[in-house]
Amino acid sequence: MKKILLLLALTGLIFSCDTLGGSSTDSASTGTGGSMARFTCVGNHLYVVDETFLQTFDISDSTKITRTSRIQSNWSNRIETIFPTDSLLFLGSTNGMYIYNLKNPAIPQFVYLYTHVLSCDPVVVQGKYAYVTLRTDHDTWSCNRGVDQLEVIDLTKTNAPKNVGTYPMVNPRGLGIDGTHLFICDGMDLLAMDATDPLVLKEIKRIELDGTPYDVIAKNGILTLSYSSGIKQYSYANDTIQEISTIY
Amino acid sequence: MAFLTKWIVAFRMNQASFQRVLVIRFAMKKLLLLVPIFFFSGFTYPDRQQFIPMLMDRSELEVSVKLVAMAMPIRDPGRIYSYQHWLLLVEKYKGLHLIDNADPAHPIRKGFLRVPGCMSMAVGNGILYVDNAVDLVGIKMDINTLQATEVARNTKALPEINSPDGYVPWEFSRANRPANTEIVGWTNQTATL
Repeated sequence: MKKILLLLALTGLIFSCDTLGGSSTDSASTGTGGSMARFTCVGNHLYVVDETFLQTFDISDSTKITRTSRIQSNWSNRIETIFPTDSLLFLGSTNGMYIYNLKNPAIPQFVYLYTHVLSCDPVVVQGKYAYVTLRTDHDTWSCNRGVDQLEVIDLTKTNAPKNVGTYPMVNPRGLGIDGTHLFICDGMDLLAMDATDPLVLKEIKRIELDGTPYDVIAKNGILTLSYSSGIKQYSYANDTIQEISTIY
Repeated sequence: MAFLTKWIVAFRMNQASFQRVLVIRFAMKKLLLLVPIFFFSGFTYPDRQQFIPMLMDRSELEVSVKLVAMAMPIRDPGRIYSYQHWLLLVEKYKGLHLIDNADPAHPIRKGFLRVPGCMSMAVGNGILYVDNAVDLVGIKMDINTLQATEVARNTKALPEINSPDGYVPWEFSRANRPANTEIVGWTNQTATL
């Protein structure tokens, strides 16, 4: 019994040492959003991105939503998505990926802007790697000069992230990662990739859909996909990806 | 001799800069010629009249969040959020589908949280936060018994909902539309006509 307790304490220690945290915080009091999220909650704060601002609201008192900061981005830049880890916020924008730290959770502090060509891009983070999709959008003038690709970014130094991989895509939108499984909404397909080695991603399967995929949540072996017709869910393990349900 | 080389170098430099000036002048003339072409070329903006806003009175907006204990059809799905064994799916501008996902092989649409102007959501400290047009609203949910109570509201905390073209046309700005109304969504005019 004592041995088991010790083992549990040790594993706890090992996990808490990971400074970048897990993919997305999830507990009894908060949930998991997709990569296209504009709202996210970390502890007692709600973070909202809306094109030009990153706003922070104190939600420690459930009867009040009190703004604690409002940070304006560059005028030419449109912030589209937000992804949290325990200590950092990653914002996807048309100019690149912003990194903010949460040392003072009421006022996020700017760390770095990883720039790339003008595109629309959500971002997810797992361990020390960020996965970003860049998309051309011909409907929106601000994104139509972009490229369609997936980028893997090494975050060992958050103040000096570097690109460690670029993969061409059709027209990628939301993405999600769970362990060694990386899922990308690409064009009219769901693309599953093996991310065992983040430096060398391998395609597992490309599943054609009856609509345009928008976003995914990959958690505990279940992939939830929202697409133009509704929701599809898949179970995944190793190289097997199986559709288990659809709701229209 | 040294004088001569210096003179030749100076002359060459002059010639080079003179040529550069000529090239620039020539380019400017060409550019001026191109200006009208830019004007009449196929450079088009999306049609301003295409989208018209759905407006709601502020007094109505502030009491608009309601739970409907009935499954609604999924028409224009958006963002997704997973909370415990529940799945929330945005129905663009309308609200959230509440889906019981205890068994992902058999998800069940249990109800619908009506939130006019809704695009996003997140759960923090057990409270659901949504955008009710420009207002940020906190909702205490008991999704197992399908009950929702608004507990907090920060009015005008968020920017107005842009039309799918990416902006609010001038004729629908606050000053140019009925007083005390908020934009809760956009419809395609050609589709409604």
